[in-house]
Amino acid sequence: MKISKLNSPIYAFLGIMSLLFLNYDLFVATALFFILFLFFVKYEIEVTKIFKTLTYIYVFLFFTVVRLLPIINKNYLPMWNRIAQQNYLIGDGYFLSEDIFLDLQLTLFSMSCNTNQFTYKIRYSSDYLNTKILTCPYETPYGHVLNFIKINENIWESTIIVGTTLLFLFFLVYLDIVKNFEGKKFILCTLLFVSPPVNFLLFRLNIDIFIFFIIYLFIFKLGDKFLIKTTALFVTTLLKFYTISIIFFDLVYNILLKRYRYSLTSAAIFIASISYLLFFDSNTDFLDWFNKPIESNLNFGIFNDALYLSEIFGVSWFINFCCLALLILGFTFIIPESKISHNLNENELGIMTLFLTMAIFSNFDYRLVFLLLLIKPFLFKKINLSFISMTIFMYTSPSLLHAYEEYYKIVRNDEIFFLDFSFYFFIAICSKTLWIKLFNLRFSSTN
Amino acid sequence: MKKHVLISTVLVSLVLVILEYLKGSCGDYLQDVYVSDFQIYFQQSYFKFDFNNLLCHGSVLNVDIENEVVTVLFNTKFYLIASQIFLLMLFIVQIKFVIFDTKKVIFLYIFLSFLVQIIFNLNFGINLLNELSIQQLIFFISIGVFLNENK
Repeated sequence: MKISKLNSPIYAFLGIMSLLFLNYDLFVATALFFILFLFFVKYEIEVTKIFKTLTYIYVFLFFTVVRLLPIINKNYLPMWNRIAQQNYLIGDGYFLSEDIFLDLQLTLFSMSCNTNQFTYKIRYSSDYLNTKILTCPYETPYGHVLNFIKINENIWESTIIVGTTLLFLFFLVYLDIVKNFEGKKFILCTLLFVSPPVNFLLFRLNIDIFIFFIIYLFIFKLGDKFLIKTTALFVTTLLKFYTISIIFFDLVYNILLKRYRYSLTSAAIFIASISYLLFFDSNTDFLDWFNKPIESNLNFGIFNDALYLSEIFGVSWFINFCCLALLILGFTFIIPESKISHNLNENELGIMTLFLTMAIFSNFDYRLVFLLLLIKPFLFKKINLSFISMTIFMYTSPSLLHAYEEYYKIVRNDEIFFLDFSFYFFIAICSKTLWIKLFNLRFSSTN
Repeated sequence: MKKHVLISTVLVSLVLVILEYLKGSCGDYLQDVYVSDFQIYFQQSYFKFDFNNLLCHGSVLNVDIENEVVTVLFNTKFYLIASQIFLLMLFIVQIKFVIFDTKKVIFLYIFLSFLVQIIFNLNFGINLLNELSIQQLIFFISIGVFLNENK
């Protein structure tokens, strides 16, 4: 492989990384073009140790320092606004970013309501809004299990401690994954870790980040122990229900492999999860979030798009849903089998199933963080179609809105609808990969 | 190569003529009258066969200074088709029926995306590097080039 002697792409990469701290929207726009360049440039890029160290420093600063500085001193709040995409800004004319670690604050407050009743004013950045004062009882739309967890600490202090720990842990996950790559793959992996869905997640610190850590540690690090893996999946199902799709995948996978003892365990956990869901009313409230139309610039989901299209064209959502399914089917036919990734193991196929399940309904973009677990198999050999479509999809979710500037409120008010083709193409790739893997598995097990 | 330059020159000239026509006959656009913090409302238009109405998509109908509201002529269906579904059609045609080399595919997408931008988005008041088409453009270029290599 030819190696670029000038190494100018590396300087360009570091320049683009600097934009992370100046204007995140601008970073996304330039990074997207740089990614396109990396996809099609024929020569390899040498990433020296010094450049790697510099990259680690940039990512560390982005993950932790810039997010914690405004907490230490309020004068740094403009920095918080700079790392926010316009999607997370408060609409209706106020161009201020959402509060610091908003979802984590809400979750902790809801748990504190299990012990004593009081009020809490969300911090920070939009202090002027009176609606930001919460009163107990307060429930977050997560699993019923949170009603049993009791905390009696100061919410803001707990947010800072838990938030800081989560950010550091996320940086460790980045180091653990990126260490496997060199050259172009190192750069692409790093860019995915600072992509919009990840930034969105770190901005809000939704409970999804806990689920991500549990899956990463107990499935991807200790995944060879089936019982540990299944228990971890059950725990995540208690928090948010969507991981049941991985349990279901395990069930099917083990049946196809004729591992009947494992199948029985998966079936038991699957039934327990369903029972848990149906037994508590608050869980069904959580399910409502899956079929609720959310702004198209903040989320992904076929059902969500079908609802918007039915509003625009005045046709039933079901017909639109079928049309979108046909679009996916069409993409499936044009994708050559040789161009997609085949190096996925059981756990990675489980993540693909999780994505496909979420893709049917309506989900906030930060849930795409799970796709980071597919970087390794997608970059196993050379850059393939699976990796290209995943990267573009992640970089356009939330959508690239830099260009809208002050007109952003049009989008915020749901006037303009985004039909993200990269999303549908990636669904097609995942469906095809899953189909090929499971079909081959069935075929090989019958022989 | 000369043929490509000639075709692109003709197409660019055509776009410029359309732009001139729009400036003359459609009145103000959002970017001409926009004041920060004004709310923007869309008045849904029904195009049918009114060509003038179609070309003036995105023009300002009314500026209410007292209530800080700008009303714009807009058609959600048409916007969705023009800025997004049109590129999908093009992609399908290119993948299924035409064999281009990489440079031609890139040229084609960039040109058509700019065409959509200039006519529908620039006039509408959103700047040239608009998310809607750029996002689709980048996706189609990447996938189109990657799939073309396979032919």
